[in-house]
Amino acid sequence: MSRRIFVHSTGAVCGFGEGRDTLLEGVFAGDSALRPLQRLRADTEVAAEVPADWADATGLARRALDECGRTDAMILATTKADLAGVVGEGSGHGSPALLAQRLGANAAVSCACASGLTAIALAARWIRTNKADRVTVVGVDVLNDFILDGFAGLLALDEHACRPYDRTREGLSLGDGAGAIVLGAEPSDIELAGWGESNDATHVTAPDREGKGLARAARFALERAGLQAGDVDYIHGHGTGTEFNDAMEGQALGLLYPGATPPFSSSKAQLGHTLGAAGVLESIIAIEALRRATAPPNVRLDETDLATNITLPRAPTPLARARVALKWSAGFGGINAALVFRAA
Amino acid sequence: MSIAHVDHHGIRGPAAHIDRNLDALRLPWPFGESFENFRLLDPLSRATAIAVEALGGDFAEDAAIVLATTQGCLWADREFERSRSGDLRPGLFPYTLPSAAVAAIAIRHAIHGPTLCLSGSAEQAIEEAERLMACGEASAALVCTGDVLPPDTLAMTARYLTR
Repeated sequence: MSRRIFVHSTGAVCGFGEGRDTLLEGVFAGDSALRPLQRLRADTEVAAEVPADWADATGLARRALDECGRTDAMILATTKADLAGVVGEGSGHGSPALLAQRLGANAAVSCACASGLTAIALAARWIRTNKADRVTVVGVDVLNDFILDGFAGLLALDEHACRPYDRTREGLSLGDGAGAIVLGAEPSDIELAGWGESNDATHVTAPDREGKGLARAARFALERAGLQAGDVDYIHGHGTGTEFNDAMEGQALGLLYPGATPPFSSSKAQLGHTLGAAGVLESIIAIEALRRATAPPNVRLDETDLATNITLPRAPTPLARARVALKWSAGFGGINAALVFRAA
Repeated sequence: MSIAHVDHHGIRGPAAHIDRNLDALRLPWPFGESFENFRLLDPLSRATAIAVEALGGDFAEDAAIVLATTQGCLWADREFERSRSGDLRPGLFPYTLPSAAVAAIAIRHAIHGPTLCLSGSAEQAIEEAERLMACGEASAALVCTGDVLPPDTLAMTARYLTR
């Protein structure tokens, strides 16, 4: 029989502050960490920044790891880390590789905005194939002007705080963050029951307009868990607030659910898009939704233009059943990943 | 398993044996069939695309793509950083992620399987590709490993693994 995989501990740092409880209290209270820019300058007024003296990727990751605990096997997920290795000291080495070395990670995953979930899937395979009994995944990215200019240049930044799934959306907001999660074969209250990945193979930045790639990843994850879409009690979306992303998620949901969807929400109006950290931080939120039997809200969502069968809670909403949560992410390069968490 | 390789001395693989000095920054598409978007790619994506093309053959639609690189997108990183002090080149920004190289391969060959970009070695990439197949997530794996260093050094190997 295949080895089962469980969630053992978590750690978090984000725009709300340090600690898993700080993250979860802010998210489930419906607060937002998006505030006027402090250390950064950009074509936007807001971001979810951490204090300036925390804003290096190594330090931020270590804060999350200190809360979560480390294991012998560790996987880093990041996009640009803090640009160490690209500019400044240590220049000449790719940034994720340098950060992995500093943290003592065994592997570094850089799969754009799907990095966190892809790294968790990698950790699951390590446990499933007996490479390790316990694996820590740490996802981290620290904002800088390089990243902000990049998204601004693509006209993807909302000048104000982002509004995922709202018809008045104008783009994304960004945030600093680090999230850590320890997975292992020893049973706990939450099982990572399934994972699935796919590639759209359509465009270098834009997602598949029909949502087929994301739906495919979700189907694989559910199949691995021995579940159907109808078994899912809550879905934590990618929800960036860009037109193409939100529409694509709506299409993917349409492929999975001919009728009403389970409660579906995004946390990026609260945390900003934390890039390499997003998948890990948002998995922690999806797990908490099961523990609290509550769907976190879609903050700043007023009127949606997604299909009417998509259930979008505006406030924290009790779940009728809290057994299974689906978490998905999509990144540049057409990379899709989905995880299924099940209350054990 | 089949293997192809591209570096400064040329291209070697089941579908191509081309001897020429290659300039990673201005590399022309060295194969007959057109590749419309090749000129838009960054050097890492170009080298990866060439190595994969030299493998030849059809790839499984559900194949995994695993890319391992140490330096990542350093060329694109530095070019984009340089552009920030003058005329910003937003079109470079997506290429500051190694996933751009994977996207180029996935799009050209219509591969929809799992995608993994690692900052790491060839051995790691092969090990993870084998693990993806062992876990039933892909029937085959396209493994690309190598680096393109500014200004013009490149080496990229592509392997196609099947069960």
